[in-house]
Amino acid sequence: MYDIAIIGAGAVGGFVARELSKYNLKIVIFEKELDVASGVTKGNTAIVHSGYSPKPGTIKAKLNRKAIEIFPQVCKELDISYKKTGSLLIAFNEESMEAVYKKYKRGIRNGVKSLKILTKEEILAIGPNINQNAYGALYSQDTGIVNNWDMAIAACENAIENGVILKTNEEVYKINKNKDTFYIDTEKGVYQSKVVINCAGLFSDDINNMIGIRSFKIVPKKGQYFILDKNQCSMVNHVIFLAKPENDKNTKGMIIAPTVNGNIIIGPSSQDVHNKADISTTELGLNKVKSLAKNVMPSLDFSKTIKTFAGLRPKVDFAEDEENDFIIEEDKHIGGFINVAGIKSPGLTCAPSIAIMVKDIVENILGKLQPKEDFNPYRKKAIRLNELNEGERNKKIKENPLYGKIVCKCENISEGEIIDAIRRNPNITTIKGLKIRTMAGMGRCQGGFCMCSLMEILSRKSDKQILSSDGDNNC
Amino acid sequence: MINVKLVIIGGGAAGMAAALGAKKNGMEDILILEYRKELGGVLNQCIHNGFGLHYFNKDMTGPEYSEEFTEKISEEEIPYYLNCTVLEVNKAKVITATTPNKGIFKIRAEAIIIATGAREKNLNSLILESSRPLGIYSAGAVQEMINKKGVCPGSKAVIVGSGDIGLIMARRMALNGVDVKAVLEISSKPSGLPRNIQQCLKDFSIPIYTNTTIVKILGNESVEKVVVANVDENLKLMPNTEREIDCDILVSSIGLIPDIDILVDGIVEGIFLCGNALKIHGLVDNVTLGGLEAGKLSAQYIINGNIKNNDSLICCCKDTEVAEKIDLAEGSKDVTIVTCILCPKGCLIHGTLDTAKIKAWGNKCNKGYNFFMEEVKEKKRIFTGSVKLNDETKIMLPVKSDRPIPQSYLIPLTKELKKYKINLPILMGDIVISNPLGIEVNIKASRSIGK
Ligand SMILES: Cc1cc2nc3c(=O)[nH]c(=O)nc-3n(C[C@H](O)[C@H](O)[C@H](O)COP(=O)(O)OP(=O)(O)OC[C@H]3O[C@@H](n4cnc5c(N)ncnc54)[C@H](O)[C@@H]3O)c2cc1C
Ligand SMILES: Cc1cc2nc3c(=O)[nH]c(=O)nc-3n(C[C@H](O)[C@H](O)[C@H](O)COP(=O)(O)OP(=O)(O)OC[C@H]3O[C@@H](n4cnc5c(N)ncnc54)[C@H](O)[C@@H]3O)c2cc1C
Ligand code: SF4
Repeated sequence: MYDIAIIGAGAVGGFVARELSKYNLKIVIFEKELDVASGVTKGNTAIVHSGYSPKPGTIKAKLNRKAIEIFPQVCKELDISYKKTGSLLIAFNEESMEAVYKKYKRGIRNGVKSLKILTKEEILAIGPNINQNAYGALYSQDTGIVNNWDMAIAACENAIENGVILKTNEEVYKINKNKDTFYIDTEKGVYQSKVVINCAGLFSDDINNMIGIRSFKIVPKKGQYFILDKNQCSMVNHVIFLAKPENDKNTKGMIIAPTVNGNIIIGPSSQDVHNKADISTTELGLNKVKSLAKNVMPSLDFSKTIKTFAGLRPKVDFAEDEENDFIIEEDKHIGGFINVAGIKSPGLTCAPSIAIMVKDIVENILGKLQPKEDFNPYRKKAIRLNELNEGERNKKIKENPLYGKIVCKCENISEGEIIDAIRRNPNITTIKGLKIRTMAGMGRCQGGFCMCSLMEILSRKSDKQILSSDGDNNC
Repeated sequence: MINVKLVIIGGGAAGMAAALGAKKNGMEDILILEYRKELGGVLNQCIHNGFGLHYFNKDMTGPEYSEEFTEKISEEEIPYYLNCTVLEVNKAKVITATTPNKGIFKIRAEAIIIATGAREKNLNSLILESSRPLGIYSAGAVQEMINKKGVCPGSKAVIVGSGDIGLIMARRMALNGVDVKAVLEISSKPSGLPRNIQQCLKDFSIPIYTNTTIVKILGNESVEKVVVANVDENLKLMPNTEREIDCDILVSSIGLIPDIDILVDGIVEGIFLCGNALKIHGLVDNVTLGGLEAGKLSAQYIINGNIKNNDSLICCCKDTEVAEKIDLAEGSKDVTIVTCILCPKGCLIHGTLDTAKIKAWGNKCNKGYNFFMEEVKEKKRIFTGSVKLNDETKIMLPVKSDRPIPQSYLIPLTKELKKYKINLPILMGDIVISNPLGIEVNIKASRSIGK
C-alpha cells in the first residue's frame, strides 16, 4: 500500500514527488511513456516567467510569484541549468502599448519586482537587433530561461534518491476507490494508495474522468517552433515577447529567446487541435511564426534553423465566465483524489510552487506529515566537460579517458558523458532519452554524425539493439 | 602548448592528400588530427566501387582508396593522432583539441589546413508537415548503420534527394532486401551521376520521381507513409498531384554543408581549406587533387613566408566535374540506349541490335563500345558489400567480388554473405570467401584489419 500515487512524470509530477519525498511517505509515480519528460514538459518555450501576466488573485498569479522566489534555490539544489536573462515585452504600436502598460500594472499588483517601461531608444540600446519601429516595452528583470527536460529529469532523479518509486512504461487506465483505499490499474498490476495525484498533463481530464466528480475537458493547443544554430546566439540576449493588443484574438504573441544550451528558440504558434498525440509541424504554422519573428527582428536568419518542432498546451475548455486558471484541488466528493490539471504556461515555472501547494493539500488529507531525517535535497547533474576549465577537464580525462573521446562533434559531447547519463536515474532506454540528457545529437547536424555511435553505446549498455532516429525528439 | 609548423585537421581523403602534398614540397613538421578511430573519413563507409577512376585509373572501393593513402601516410612517416577532436581554431592559429590519452591540449601552428569534410543537411530543419515519427535518417547515418554495423533500420524506404549519396543508398538498401519505393527529386533532372542512375536505380527497377517533393511525413510512432506532390518549374507545388507512398524509413539525402564551425574567428592568413570542407565534391579524385594543392601551398607559405598568389590563401581547386547531366533516356524499339558506367562521364551509348552487325555510337572512348556489347548480352557488375568479423568489435569487413558478376546475382550474394564470419587478421585483397554462390567468383577484402 502506497501513501501517495502520482500519475505523470513531467515537470509537475516530478516536483510533486520530490516535494513529498521530504516526508515519511511511500510514494509511487506512474508514467505511461518510456521516459520522464515525455509530455508537455518535452516541447515548450522553457521560459521562467516573472509573473506579470496572470490575473491578480488567481492561483497562477500566486504560484508564479512564489516560484520566482524559490526558483534560484531549487535550481541550485537540483543543479538545473537556469539563467536569469530579463525580458522585453515589446509593442510596435500604440494599441499594443496599452497592453504593455496593463501588464505593467498587473505586474505591480502581482508583486513582481524590477519592472520598468522602456522607450524605443532604451529598447534598441539593449537589443540592437530589434526592429527599429519598436514603440515601447516592459522590461522585467526576473524573467529567465531553464532546461525544460531537466525540470522533470532532475526532480525525478532526486525523488528516486529519496525513496520514490518511478514506474515508466506503465499507463494507468482505471482508478477505483473502496473505503479509504484507491485501486489503481495498469497493464502490469493493481496498486493501492491512500492518495492519488493527477499530474497527467494533456491527459489529466482522462484521469479525472476515471474517478473525479468535477468534469473538465482538455483541448490541446499546438505551438510550433524553430531552433536556430548556436552560431546565431549573439543575436538575442533577452527573452523577447511580442505584445499584442488586449482582447485581440486574431493577433498572436510570440517569443524569441536564447536557450540554456546556447541556441535561439522562436515560437510558438497557436492552434487548437483534437488529437493529443498531434505534435506535427505544419507549413502554415511555421510560416506564421517566421513572419511574425521577422517583424520583431528582421535580421534573424532562418536558414540557420537546425530544427523545427511542436508542443501541445493542455488547455481546459472553461466556460466563458470561468477563470482560465490552474486546477489544483482535492475533488470535493472523492476525498484523497487531487487534480493538478490544466497546467499550461507558466506551468514549468510554477512546478516547484505547485508542488508546495499540493503538499499542503496532502497534509490536509493525511494530517501533519513527518519530515524525513535523511532527506537529501541535492542532486548533482552529470558533468559537462564543455563547462569545465582546461585544468579540471584534463583531470577528468585522466580519471576516465573516455571524457577525452568526443562522440557528438557539434555539441562536443564525449563518450564518458554519454555513459554517465546511461548509468543514472531515471533509466534511459531510448536514443531520445540519451539526447535530451546529454545534448549529443541535438546540434547542427541533428545526429547525422553520431547517431550510429549513440545507438551502439546505448545498445552495448542495455544489451539489446536499439534503433532510433531524429524523428521524435521534440527538443 | 606545442608548436607544429603545419597542422591538418581531418584525416579523410582531403587531409591525407594535403599531408602528402606538403611533405612532397619540403614540409617536414606535419601533424594530422582525426576525430575518428582511423584515417579515411567517409571513404571507409563508402564500401561501393567507383573511386579512383581518374587519379589511379583503377576502379576501387572507398576503403581501398582510403587504404592506399593511409599506407602512403605511414611510408612517409607523417604523424597523426586518432580519436582526436579539434574543438576550436582561433585567429592566432592556436588549435584546441582533445583525445582520450592526452586530454585537452593546444597546438600553435604556422599554417593550418582545414580538411574537416561536410555534414548532411537534415529534414528536421525544413518547414515541412510532419508528425515527427521515428524512422527518419540521413543517408550517411543509414550508410554507416548498414555498411559498418550491419544493421538495417527498416524494410520499406523512400529516399528524398537524388544526389549520388541517395542513389548509392538506394542500391545498398535494395541489396539488403529493403523495398525501395522511390527516390524523390524536386528538380527536373536527377542530380547524381548517370552511372549511378543506371547501376543504382535502373538495375534494381527503383523509380525516380523528378519534379516531385515531399509534403508530409505521417505516422504515429514510426513513419508509416509520406505524401509527395509534383512541383512546377518554379518549384511551386502543383494542386491535385498529392499521393501517398507507404514506407517505414525515410532517408534524406538533400545535400551536404561544409563543416567548418571550428573556425571561431573565421578564416585568416595561413589557414587553407580543401576537400568537402571547402566545397562539396562529387568525386574523391578531385578531393585528392585539391588536397595535394593545399598541401603544396601551405608548405610554400611556411617555407617562403608567403605564397605567390595571395588570393589563393584559401586553396580553391576547380572540381573538374566530368559528368554530363543527361535525361533518363529509355531508347526505342530499334535503338537501345545504355549508360556506360565505367567512368563518371557516363556516356549514353546508342546502338542497333541488328543480328548481322551491332552498331554503337555516343561512347567517348573504346571501353564504352565493349561495355555496350557486354551490357546488351548480360548486365554484369562488381559486387560490393560487407561481412561480419569473427571478433568482439562488431564492425563489418568491406568486401568486393574479384570480377563483375551477373547483375541478378547481386541480391542473392548479399544475402548469402550474411551467413559468414571472417577470421582476423586480414590483408586488403585477401580472398576471404571463395566461390560462395558456385558461380566462380571470389570475395576479396577491401581493407586490411588486424595486420
Ligand atoms: C507550447 C508551449 C509553451 C510553453 N511555454 C512555457 C514557458 O515558456 N514557461 C513555462 O513556465 N511553461 C510553459 N509551458 C507550460 C509547461 O510546459 C507545462 O505547464 C508543463 O510542462 C506541464 O508539465 P506537466 O508535468 O503538468 O505535464 P506533462 O509534462 O505532460 O506530464 C504529464 C505526464 O503524464 C503522463 N501520463 C498521462 N496519462 C497517463 C496515464 N494514464 N498513466 C500514466 N502516465 C500518464 C504523460 O505521459 C506525461 O509524461 C508551455 C507549454 C506549451 C505547450
Ligand atoms: C555516400 C558517399 C558516396 C560517395 N561516392 C563517391 C564515389 O562513388 N566516387 C567518388 O569518387 N567519390 C564519392 N564520394 C565523394 C568523396 O568520397 C568525398 O567527397 C571525399 O571522400 C571527401 O573527403 P574529405 O576528406 O573532404 O572529407 P571526409 O572524408 O568527410 O573527411 C573529413 C575528416 O575530418 C574529420 N574531422 C571533421 N571534423 C573534425 C574535427 N573537428 N577534428 C578532427 N577531425 C575532424 C572527420 O572525422 C573526417 O575523417 C562519395 C561521398 C559520399 C559521402
Ligand atoms: S564510354 Fe568511355 S568515356 Fe564514356 S563513360 Fe564509358 S568509359 Fe567513360
